[in-house]
Amino acid sequence: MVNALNNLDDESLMGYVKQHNHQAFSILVERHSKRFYAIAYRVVMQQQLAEDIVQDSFLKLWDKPTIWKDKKGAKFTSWFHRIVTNMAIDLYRRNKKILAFDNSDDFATQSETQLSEIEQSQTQIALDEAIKTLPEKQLLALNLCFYEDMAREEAANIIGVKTGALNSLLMRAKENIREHLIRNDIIKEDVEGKIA
Amino acid sequence: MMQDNELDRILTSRTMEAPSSNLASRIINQARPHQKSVSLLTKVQELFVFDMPALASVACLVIGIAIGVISNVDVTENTSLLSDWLSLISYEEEMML
Repeated sequence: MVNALNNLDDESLMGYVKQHNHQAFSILVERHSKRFYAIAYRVVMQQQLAEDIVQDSFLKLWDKPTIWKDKKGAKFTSWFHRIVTNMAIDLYRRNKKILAFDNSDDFATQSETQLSEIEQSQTQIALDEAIKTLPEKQLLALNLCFYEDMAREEAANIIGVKTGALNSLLMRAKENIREHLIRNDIIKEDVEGKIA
Repeated sequence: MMQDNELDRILTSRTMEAPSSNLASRIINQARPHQKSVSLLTKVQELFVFDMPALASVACLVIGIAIGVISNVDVTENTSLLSDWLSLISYEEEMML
């Protein structure tokens, strides 16, 4: 039975989850928890919070599997992506001020490492700070298109904008990050306005 | 184009804390009690309805008396009501067995 379930696609497994089949649910969790953790982490940038989001999303699915509507051609991962993203964004909005200062401990720990590692960690911290300052839609555009490599149409659908607007969001996100990194001497701008 | 490459390189180098190794099993175990409680309830129901109708009848009588006591009805004095109950239960037992 387990082997047979293992060979099923996500949408078929959801059919079993709707019948409270715990094994089918377990396979979905094993198959996708890491991926959805990454999605949540890139929004909230905290391990514990990201894990809580993934856990809550899956448990919500287990408690109310009928929220999944098996429409023709609907992909479980796209649908669940939206659930996890919405939950992460909701948490991000509520904790934005707290999350914005969360790197202080990391920096203290990392400052004890070797010089090259310090430089690397400084780049990471500056990059995280830059990403944290992005407006919500730019953050989502960056996460979905750059890190998730999602199709533009699908990403635009999740964010709730048109494809053209999504491209502008992505461009502005990158521009904002670039400016932040220049201000923090992570990358240099030459006289013509280009990075050296 | 060079600018984009440099920025993309930095963006790609972005690290992420790995999730706990037991994340999936934690979620799976959290989901399990819900299913257990459902199956336990079903088993109790099956036990009473299909396996032990006599016990179910006695349980119903006890619950009935308890409700009577709580409602300040003196069940012991109302013998006709009690005998009605007992005859009804005997009849049900005969039908089920």
